[in-house]
Amino acid sequence: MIKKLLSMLLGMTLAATVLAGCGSAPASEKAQEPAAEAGTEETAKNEETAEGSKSYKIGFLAPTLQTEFFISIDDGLKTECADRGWEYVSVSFDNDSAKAVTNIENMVTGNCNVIIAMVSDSSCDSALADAQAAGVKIMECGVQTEVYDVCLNTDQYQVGVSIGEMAAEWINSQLGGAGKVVVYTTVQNQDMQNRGQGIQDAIAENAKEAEILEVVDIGKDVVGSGTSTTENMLQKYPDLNCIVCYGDAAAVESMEAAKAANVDVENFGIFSCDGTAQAMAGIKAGDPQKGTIMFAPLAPMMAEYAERVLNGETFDEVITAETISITSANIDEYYTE
Amino acid sequence: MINISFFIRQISLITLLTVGVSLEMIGGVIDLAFAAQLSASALVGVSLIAGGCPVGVGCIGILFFNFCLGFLKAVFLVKLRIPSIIFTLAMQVILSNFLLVTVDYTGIVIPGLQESYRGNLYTVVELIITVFCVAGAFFFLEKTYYGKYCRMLGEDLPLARENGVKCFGISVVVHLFSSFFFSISAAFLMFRTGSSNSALGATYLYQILTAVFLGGILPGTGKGRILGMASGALAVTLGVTFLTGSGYLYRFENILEGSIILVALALGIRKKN
Repeated sequence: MIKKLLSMLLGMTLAATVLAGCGSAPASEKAQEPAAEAGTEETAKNEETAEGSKSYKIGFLAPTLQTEFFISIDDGLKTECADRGWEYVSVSFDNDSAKAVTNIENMVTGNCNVIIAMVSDSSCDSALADAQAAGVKIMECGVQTEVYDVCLNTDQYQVGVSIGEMAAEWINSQLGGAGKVVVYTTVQNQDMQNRGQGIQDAIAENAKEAEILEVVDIGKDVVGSGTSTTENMLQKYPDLNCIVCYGDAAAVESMEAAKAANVDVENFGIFSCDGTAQAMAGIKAGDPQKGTIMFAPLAPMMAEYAERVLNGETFDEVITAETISITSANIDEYYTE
Repeated sequence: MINISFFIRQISLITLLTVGVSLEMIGGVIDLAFAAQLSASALVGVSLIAGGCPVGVGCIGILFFNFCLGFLKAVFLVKLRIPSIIFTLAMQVILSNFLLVTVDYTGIVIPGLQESYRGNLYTVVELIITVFCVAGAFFFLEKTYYGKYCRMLGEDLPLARENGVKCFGISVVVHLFSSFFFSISAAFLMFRTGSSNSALGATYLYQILTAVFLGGILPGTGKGRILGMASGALAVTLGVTFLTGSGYLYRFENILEGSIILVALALGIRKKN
């Protein structure tokens, strides 16, 4: 009996996957097949969506889908693709490059026309090159390796400098330069290392009296590490008055931990990057979160360049996204409750 | 349509890991550390190669590291009688964190390595190695006394001891044999990504446990067949391939895997009782 049940479970898993596979032909393929067979005007019309553009399938490969920054890109891309009549799939590789390679292969099998890869380093280059060889367009975002058709990237060191300058300005104006700073960075990724270095250099340059007490590796997109690290830092350094993070996910957690520890909200500043709604809500509410760097919305930019690369445009230069420093001075322009 | 080359590469790795974990489970060990072991050993291999050693030395480093861990498992689980879930969970935490704090990540990407082991020829080599390994596991489990004793250990360790079975020796053999499978998997991952860090392969934990339980290998029974392991690996590979490509997995992969593990375990425990 039990064996039968286990066999049924196994069989159901197999059947479900086969059915899913059968139903997963991409919109472009679905449209092209009947057109090729019949060659009629009516079937040719099927290639076009309501908006008059061809239908494609876009795959988004994210390091995680658990933080607001990546969730917002995911949701934004979903909307952008739906507006264009495209299919859309997204998957997280949980910072495991082996899983990233597998996911890229599976997106090729799933007939994606464009893979938007937010990979960490060049460990996926082979898989991306194989995908390119299979006719898939590769859009790298947030990192630049050897393999891409279009690359959206930012100078991460410069982003770090912007965060550091924002923090230094607050330290000088609010604390008279007497900042006791902890920097949260990560060594798991070269870009984040560069960003972390930019933060430290900018603080050292612009707030000369401030002291960087410690630079902590909090891991990359590890949910909960911002909370636990902040609790530890507040215990270790009772005079701590500024935390500068590489990203909003950790900053928001730090903000909650700092509030729970009853810090002096006016004289405690947290600065970070990503421009997430939670971080901006904190700035607006007068919480310890005092500033964040916002990128120009990535999802519309990704969709636009996906469309352009599918239309045959080529991009030799890296496309850079604009950044905006958000503080209490300009929060109303960018955030409404 | 499925890409055969991608499929072979994925199923090779999943099958090797499934067989390795299944052998341990048949021998009575629920191994939660194999994914961390995979990451750590691949990191050892990549570090050696990045340090100037030939690729072969890197592979030997992986094998040696895994054999050491396999021996350690036998000591702690059979000699010291520590419950396998506690020990392997602790080992997972130690391994994944130790290398995180001792090794600089950014230096351990070797793009040339990745490029050298790319293409259909390498995929065929992976397949051949996998087939030989699975055949070896079949021979070990079904045709040798070690296989039979392994099942006895898994079914009832105290009883096996009372009957004079050399439990420690058998356990060492089983763990070394499993470690061989983990070593090959780690080498495959190292060649495939040309890199390593503490997270490499970490996400295989639930996938492989799902494949093991789907294959009908249940803890504490000493039972399990190679065909079951292969079926479990096939189901998981096909599932992940199609569900990822179709967008159905989305944020639900771990929920699905956890549910399958629970159902399979519940069925197995009901049967045992």
